[in-house]
This record gives sequence, C-alpha cells and structure tokens, in this order.
Amino acid sequence: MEFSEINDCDRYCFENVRQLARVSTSSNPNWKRDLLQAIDRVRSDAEWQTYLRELYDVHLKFCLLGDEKREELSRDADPHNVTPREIAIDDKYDAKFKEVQATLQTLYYRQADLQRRFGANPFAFQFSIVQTSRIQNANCAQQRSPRYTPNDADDP
Amino acid sequence: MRMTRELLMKSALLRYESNFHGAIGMLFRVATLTVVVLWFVSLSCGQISTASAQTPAVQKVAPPDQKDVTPKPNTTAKGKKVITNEDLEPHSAAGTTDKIITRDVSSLLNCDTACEQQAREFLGYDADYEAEWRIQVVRARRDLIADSEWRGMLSQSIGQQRTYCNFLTQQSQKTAPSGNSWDAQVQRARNAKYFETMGNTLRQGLETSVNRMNNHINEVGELSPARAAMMNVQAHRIFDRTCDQPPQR
Repeated sequence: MEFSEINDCDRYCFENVRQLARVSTSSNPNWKRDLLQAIDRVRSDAEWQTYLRELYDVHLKFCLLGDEKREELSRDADPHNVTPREIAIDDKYDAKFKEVQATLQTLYYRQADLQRRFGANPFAFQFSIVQTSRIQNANCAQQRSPRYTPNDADDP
Repeated sequence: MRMTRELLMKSALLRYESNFHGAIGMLFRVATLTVVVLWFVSLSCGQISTASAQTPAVQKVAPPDQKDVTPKPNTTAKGKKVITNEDLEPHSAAGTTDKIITRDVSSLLNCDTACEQQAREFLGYDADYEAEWRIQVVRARRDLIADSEWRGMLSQSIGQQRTYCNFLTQQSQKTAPSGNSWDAQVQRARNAKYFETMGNTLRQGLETSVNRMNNHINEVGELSPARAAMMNVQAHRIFDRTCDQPPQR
C-alpha cells in the first residue's frame, strides 16, 4: 500500500465502513451522502493526516529492519547450522525491533486521543479505524515496491 | 458444510484492502469453527483423561504472498479431552471431591510469548514476514489486555472447566445402593436422572459460552487477525486442558 492511497474508499470500503458503523440502510436512506461527508471530514483533518503519515513511516522502519535482517542473515548465516554469528544477528535485530515497537506503541496511545474527535460520527470514526488498519495490515513487499504509474517522472 | 456456507456468507465482508488479510480472515473462521467441533467431540466423550495438556490443534497457513491460501489441518493425533462448564450450580452431590484442576490458571488469561508464537505460526508469518508480525503484535497485545469482555469470557470458561471436571468426578465416583429393593432402585434412578440433567445443563452452558467466544473472535478478526489468532490460541489452551486425576482419599 502506498501512502497516497490512505484516503481512498472504493465501494467495498464504503460498505465495510457502513457495516462497521452499524448503520442500516433502511434506517438511514441518506447514508451514502452522510458517509461521503464523513470521509471528507477525515481527509481534511490535518492533524489526523499527519498522524497517519507518522504511523506509515514507522511501519516502513519495520520493513526496513526486516530487509536488513534478511540480508545480513543471507550473507552471514550458515543454512545448515545455527552459528553464534546468526544468534548475534537475531539478538541485534530483536533489540532494534523492540525499539521501533516502543515507538509504535507510543503512537497508538496518541491515536486514541486523535480519534476521539471523530467519536460523534460513527462513519468518520470507523473510516479512521479502517485507515489505520490499512497501514497496520499492509504487507512490507507492497510498501517497498511502489506501483508503476504512467506519469511517473522518473520513468526512463 | 456449515463451515463452507459460513465462509461464503462472510467472504463479502472480508474483502479488505489486502487480499492476504482477507484470506487469513477466512482461514481464521475455519479454525475457530474447528475448535467448536473439537470441543463438542470431546464433550461427547465425557470422560476424565489424566493425560497431560496437549498442544492446541492450530492450523498452519500458507505464506502470505500466496493467493489461494488453504488451511492445512494439523494431523497430529489427539487424545480424548475433557471440556468444562460454567458454574451453573454448586456441587450438589455429597461426598465427592472438588479438587480438580488446581493448576495455576492465571497464565491462561494472558497470551505469553509461546502463545504469541503459536498465533504467528497460525497466521503464517515466517521469518520472511518478521517485520509484519512485529507490527501486528504491538497493537494486538495492547488491545487484548484492554479487552475486558474477552478476559471475562476466559475466566468464565476456566470456571466452567472446573465445574465440569468436578461433575465428571462425581459421576465416576457415584455410589448407589445395590440390590433389588425398592429403595435401592429409586435411589439409582434418582442418581441417573441427576447426572443426565446436570450433564445436559452443563453442556448447554458450555455451548453458549463457546458461541460467545467464537463470535467475539470473529468480530475481532475483521480488523485484527493477529489479535484474533492470539485469542484463538488462548481458547485452545483452555479447552485443550484435561481434568487432573482426583486426589486419593
């Protein structure tokens, strides 16, 4: 997932948010417009958007550490035997991961406060949860390999 | 059949941004339903086993980058298990011991490192996906601790297990007057009725409890597969336990 997609909400997402907000289509025939407004509200909340960016960046750090560890292991580890060197690499990255996990934990504490502003609107609140879930559930491979776009200026 | 239908019904809800996690959600349902089936198989056995606790029958999934993820059932042979029930009634049979399952149960309320590792294996986060798992587990740990409803369910099911084991002990130690006298026959009939009624009551209580836990796990699995997997391991740990042998009198 690229960060530029964080505010997207296609039809599946639309329906998903409605269900998570427990809003029935019969009780609120205008739910689609209400949901659209709620999504716009979340999109235009600068503080929330900054938070999402920070969350995304921390996740990238995890991915980076994962890559580094894999590279180091493929370079130094013996595939047939566990070696002291391999254990040392494990320990080194365990400490690094724990450090980033602590940062992530701190971010999550902030999230609850920030999301309170959407509390009065179930659609906005649930969309904000879906957004953080997107980041949380994203696969590192998807984050590492940005999608090709025809207008990419760097494209040779 | 029931599993297939439920999977189909819920598959529409599962389409998340990532196909990977949608697939995991479906797998999760298969696994939790499997747990329920196992519990009831165990219930139907209705015997006290003195075997030590067994490894939960978690299902391993294919690596996350595979599109068609198929659950791979653990084929490890499992012995009989005893499932417990809630404290619907105090111990009503006189002269029986109620000192079953006295092991420390506080560990069952937490998902320790081993529990997390089982959840990780269940979701298929191997070494190549360590970063993803490390991300997932931070949130899952925090939410799991804060989930008082789930902790209540765990405590209740532990209590149910204790009660059910006591019941089974009563049943195994029942003494009824022998002989063909009228009184002896009446007493035997009363005993049989008591065990039948109590057994049914306890099993119904268990069924309700299992359904509640299953529903809660499924709800959580929509947004946090890692937390749901950890809950699943916790549930397995409780229901895979066996009754301890009653102390000698």
